[in-house]
Amino acid sequence: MKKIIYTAFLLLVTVSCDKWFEAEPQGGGQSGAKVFDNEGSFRDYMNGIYTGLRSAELYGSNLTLGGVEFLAQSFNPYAGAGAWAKMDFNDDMALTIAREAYTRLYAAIYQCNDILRLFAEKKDVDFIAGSREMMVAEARGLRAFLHFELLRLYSPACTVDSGASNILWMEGTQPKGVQMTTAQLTDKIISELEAAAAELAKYDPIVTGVGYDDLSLLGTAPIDRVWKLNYYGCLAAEARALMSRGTAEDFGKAYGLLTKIIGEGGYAFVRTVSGTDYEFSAEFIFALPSPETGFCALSEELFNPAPDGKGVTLSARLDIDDLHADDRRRNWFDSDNTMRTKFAPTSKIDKWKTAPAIPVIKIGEVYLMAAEAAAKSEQLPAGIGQFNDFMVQRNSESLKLPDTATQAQLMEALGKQYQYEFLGEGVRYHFCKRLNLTVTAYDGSQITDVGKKAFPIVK
Amino acid sequence: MTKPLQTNERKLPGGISAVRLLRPLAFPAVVSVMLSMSPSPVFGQGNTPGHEEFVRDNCRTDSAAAAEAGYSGEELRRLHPTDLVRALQLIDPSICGTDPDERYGSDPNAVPAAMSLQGVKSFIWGMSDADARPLVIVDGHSESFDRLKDFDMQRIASVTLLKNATATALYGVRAGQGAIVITTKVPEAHPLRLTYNFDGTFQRAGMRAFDLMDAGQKLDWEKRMGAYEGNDALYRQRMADVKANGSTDWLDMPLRTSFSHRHRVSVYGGDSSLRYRGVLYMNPVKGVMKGSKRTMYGASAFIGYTTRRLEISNELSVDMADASESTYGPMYEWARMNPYYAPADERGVPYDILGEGTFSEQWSPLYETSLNSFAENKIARVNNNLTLRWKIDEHFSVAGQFNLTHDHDKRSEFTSPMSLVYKDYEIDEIDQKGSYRILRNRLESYQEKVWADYRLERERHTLRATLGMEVYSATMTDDAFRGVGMSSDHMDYISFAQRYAAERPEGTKTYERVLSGYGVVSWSLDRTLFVDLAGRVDKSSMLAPDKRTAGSYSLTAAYDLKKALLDNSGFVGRLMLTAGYGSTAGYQFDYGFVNPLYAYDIDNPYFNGMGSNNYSKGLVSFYNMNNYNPALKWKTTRNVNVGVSGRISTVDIAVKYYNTLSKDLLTLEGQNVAFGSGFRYANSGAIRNSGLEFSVAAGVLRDRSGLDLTLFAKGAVNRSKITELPDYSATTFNSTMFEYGYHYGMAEGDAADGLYALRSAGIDPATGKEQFYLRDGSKSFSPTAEDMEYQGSMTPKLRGTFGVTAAYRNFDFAAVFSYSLGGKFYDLYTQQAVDLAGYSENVPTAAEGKWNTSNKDAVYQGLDNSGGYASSRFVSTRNTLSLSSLRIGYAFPKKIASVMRMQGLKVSLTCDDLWYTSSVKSPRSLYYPYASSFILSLQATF
Repeated sequence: MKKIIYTAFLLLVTVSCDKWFEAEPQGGGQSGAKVFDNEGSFRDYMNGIYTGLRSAELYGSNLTLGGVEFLAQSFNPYAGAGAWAKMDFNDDMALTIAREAYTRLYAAIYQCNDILRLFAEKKDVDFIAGSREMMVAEARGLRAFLHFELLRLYSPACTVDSGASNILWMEGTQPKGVQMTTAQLTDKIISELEAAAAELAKYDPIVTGVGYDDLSLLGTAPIDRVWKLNYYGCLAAEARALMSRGTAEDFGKAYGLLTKIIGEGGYAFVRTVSGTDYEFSAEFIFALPSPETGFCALSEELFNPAPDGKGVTLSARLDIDDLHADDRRRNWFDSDNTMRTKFAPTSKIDKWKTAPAIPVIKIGEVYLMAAEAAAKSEQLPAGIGQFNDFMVQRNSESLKLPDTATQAQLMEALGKQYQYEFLGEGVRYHFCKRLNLTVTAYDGSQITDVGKKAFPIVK
Repeated sequence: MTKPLQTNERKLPGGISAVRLLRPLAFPAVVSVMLSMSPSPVFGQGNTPGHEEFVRDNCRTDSAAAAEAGYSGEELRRLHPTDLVRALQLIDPSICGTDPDERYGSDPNAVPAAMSLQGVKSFIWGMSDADARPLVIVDGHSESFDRLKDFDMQRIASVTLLKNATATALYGVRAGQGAIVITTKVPEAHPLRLTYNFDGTFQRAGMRAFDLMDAGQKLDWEKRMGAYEGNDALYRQRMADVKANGSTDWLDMPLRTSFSHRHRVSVYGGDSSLRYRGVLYMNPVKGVMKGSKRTMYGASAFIGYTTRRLEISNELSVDMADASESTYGPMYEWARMNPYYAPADERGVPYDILGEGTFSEQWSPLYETSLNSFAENKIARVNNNLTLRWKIDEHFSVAGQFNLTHDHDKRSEFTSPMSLVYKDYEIDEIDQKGSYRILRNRLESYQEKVWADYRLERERHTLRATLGMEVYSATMTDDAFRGVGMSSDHMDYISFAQRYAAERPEGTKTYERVLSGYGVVSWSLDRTLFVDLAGRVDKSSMLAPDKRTAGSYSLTAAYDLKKALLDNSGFVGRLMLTAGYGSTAGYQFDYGFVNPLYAYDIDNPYFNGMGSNNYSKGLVSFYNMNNYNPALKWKTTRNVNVGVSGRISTVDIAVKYYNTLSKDLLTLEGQNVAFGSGFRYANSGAIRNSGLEFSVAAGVLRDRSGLDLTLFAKGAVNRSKITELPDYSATTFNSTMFEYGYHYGMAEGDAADGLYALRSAGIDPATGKEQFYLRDGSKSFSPTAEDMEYQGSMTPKLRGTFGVTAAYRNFDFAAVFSYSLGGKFYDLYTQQAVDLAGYSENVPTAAEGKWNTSNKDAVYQGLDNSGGYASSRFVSTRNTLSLSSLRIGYAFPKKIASVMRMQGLKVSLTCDDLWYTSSVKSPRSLYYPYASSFILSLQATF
């Protein structure tokens, strides 16, 4: 009898149902992980990651119009931003931008890892067929994309110093990362993007043409996928990474990816401007919707004359006459030597409700990268062809290159187009850095070895 | 850790600050003090001490009990007949931290938000309140700490404070901050009896320490400080008013001399097989601030039945409480009122705004009290305790205890639309005026304990083994909502509201689920040497998912030296050595520290396109909102203690030394932001507490006429030291404290309750602003957090009681003085009310020492100061002495009682907190005053 009772006690003590202890509190506007018992929560969490990316510390300002674009020497900087614009990254403004962006990018990577953890743990949650696979691939691709953003901001260009070891690869929510050299990390990023793209090719509505939307799950119609890292965004990101590594083989592979986007993506350039959509949103491959007043308000703040704004003007490095008379991008040049029009409200009636989106990857970059990639993979004629196609799409046939143009001429022409095509978007700096160019600063001085520039990692 | 004197900003109502004049909800979160008559466990033969006392509370061992502090109900009642917390504080000096900021004085509705035994065992940053208070055990089952203050003193048979890990190990992770174990009386076997208890209490507040200026002094001071430059007419007019109306004593207005009367009737009796008890009580308690009251009433029924092999008992209690907070608000609000203002017109109608348009415009708190605003709680509590015991044979028995508790607390807060908080509302905001907020708080718990007990006696050896399991499951539910838009002062119910307030309704539901197993083996030799080995394992929902199971253990021993070596000595009456080593796990974090939390980013939807049409398709965005560590460990408290107690001739002496290491304490550590956040929670803190407790009682007179006179003294010395603390934690905490001007901090090597301040270099004669010494020895007006210096521990170096007890025939007498020596004190009141004061509010007379152009050698800063740094000028060593309790009692002889048809009649008068002196002249409480109490008690048994 005693033995039975003792045994019963021991069993009760040692054996218990774990679920009974997972007593998740409710309230306070918060939820524990149990909320991920349906597809909607995963979808909402994905939205939350992108919402963070559009913050002012990242693409909502500092990595685009309000920060990195100054490094492209597009603007005459406002008081206090001169050192930053000239790539003095020990300046206070640079230190602040670098610290905030580093923190927020890794926070977004943490979220990607967190949602991947939840996908792995919550295997019994029902999803619309294909939706889970799409989001898993998207999170994986976004994680690689964000690591590449860190790499190209905080390390010298891969072609300049592939042995630098500045960035941790983070996979999982545990405080453990893998320190990699730029070369190793680039390899990792490429393989991750490749894997993500392979999955997205099967499940992304932008490819299949069939959305996952129902009444409760908005945002997955093919047309809505532009606001997420979709299949084509993934391909373009992979091409960026390949071209940063810079071997002929990489360029060849990148050219293949880019022509795939051009050939299969169905993207078209804006040939005639209608309404007020001067940033040509139809050309977006991957973009972030601006917060309610965000990008528009930032543009107003930068280009408004003091004291209402910061009085930023376009630098002398930009000349409207570089563009053909019929080039729609001329609309971005305003009579007060600013570019307020590009990011102006898309409706003149309700200014703050119609803030423009934040472009991250556009079809224009795909064309320009394709031209370079072809030229550097021993397909110069094809590269010239891609460039000329781009110029035609931009209503600037007169700027087409002759078939006999050299690679150097092509690169020079590409460099000029990078100046204008991505005005205010923070793309040109990365182009210059990747090629380790010497850049003429807004004030006419020369900035050499841009490829060696790297944001400081402020602990 | 808030600065009460900085809370008088005039904010529009919203959220939890709806009722401006009422105490902030931060302390206590929900006032749920109530009197309750909780059930007793089994009764009968098994309760005889030394035989089977574990039946009542089987988590006790012989040697551990000998090492812990136990007090009988009678001892406690003699110190304070109605307030258990107060009685415990007087009887055991190791209790501290119950009201560290001394805010709540004698507020009948205040419950200690914290209490520590033998020193602070957690860092003071208060990231979690999971380990703020000891576990309260009543007859073997845990009860809400909130009930302790109003616990029915007449029920108590004994109270034991379990301070050491050696004793708390058997209560496990829930007792990480110690345990207060209460054992209640069991009805004795005798014919039906009826006892009536009455306690009548007068209370009177003492507020002299404010030492405020009167009207003449204040006007003169204002004039000297330049308040009337260019406006002499105002000065003359005010002087004329004062001459006509006199000076107003605002501090007197919220106070009253209160009288409370408690009544309790119990009927009880029984025989060897059946026992019963029924209790009815009513305790309407009034506080010394007007409108402050707590009315408790309830009933309980106990019935028990026993046979040779089976015992069964059940007690059901139902308790109700109606509590109201004083609408007069905190005392400091009254202290700041200028005495030259008349509070009301000739008809007695209070003015609302005083000195309107002048430099000293003030909103009258008296006006607010004339409105219908209120805050009240209605509390209901039901508790049922069932205990069974089956004695299988002479060696072996099994028992079970099953307890169900349901507490419900509804709080209602009404702010009149006429309140001055709505003064600046525009006409189109009229539907936002007035507020009625309802908060509901529920606790439902089930506890089950089943254990088996084995006892064997062989010649000189006695062996006892207990193996048990325990289940505790509690659900705590809170919700709150607020309606606004009352157009009349008398629309004082939620149904008058025109709409819900703009803020979100609140609501939380939390759980605590614990499954435990425990075991004890006790061995004694000749009843001289006692050795106990105890262990417990708890699996709890309150622990981290990766470390869900916590263990506690102890080894204790006691040796009866008198019996072993001095058995024939008449000089040594008793001599016992005790020693123990143990480790107890303890809670220290909340759910969000160890589990992910997510929230909707409601104001930041992820829009799905451009243009106004598409923007309406905003997608919900969800985000991870906390930094968590699923592998966080519980707090571990390891303790070693040795003690000796004995009686030599007529002197009782007990001395105990303890050394406690609380390790794996919750800390913050910096980490690479690549991990998602720049910090993480860790278990890298440790605090060591070591100390000595002593008590001496000497029977100095004991003659044949019945006179018995005993002098006694008790004391506790505790030294705490932070032995491990990551730099990141210290820097983060200290920077925050510095930023807010608080006098707290922490650093390795310092006391866990350290007081920190900047070393003052005095008031600069040229500017009237304070300068500080920086770390490098230079002086500066702009110090940094690194310049804060440790000033010492806030815990007194020595504290305790001394006094005399006497008995003569049927009289008994006791006088108990409390003392504390050497604790560091920060005089926040003087800093706020004098040093940082302007001339728009009333000030203490010490403000005469403020800097101005004609008083450049000043001790307090001038008017132009904005700094609020913690300064060493306000740090002092505080020594206090008080006459805490004075009592005289008389038990009527049976003959006289029987003439009145009674079996017994006792009367007593107890005076509590009669006199207090301190080396620091600063008000003792800024919110609710301390009061002297005079309690007349009567117990009649029929």
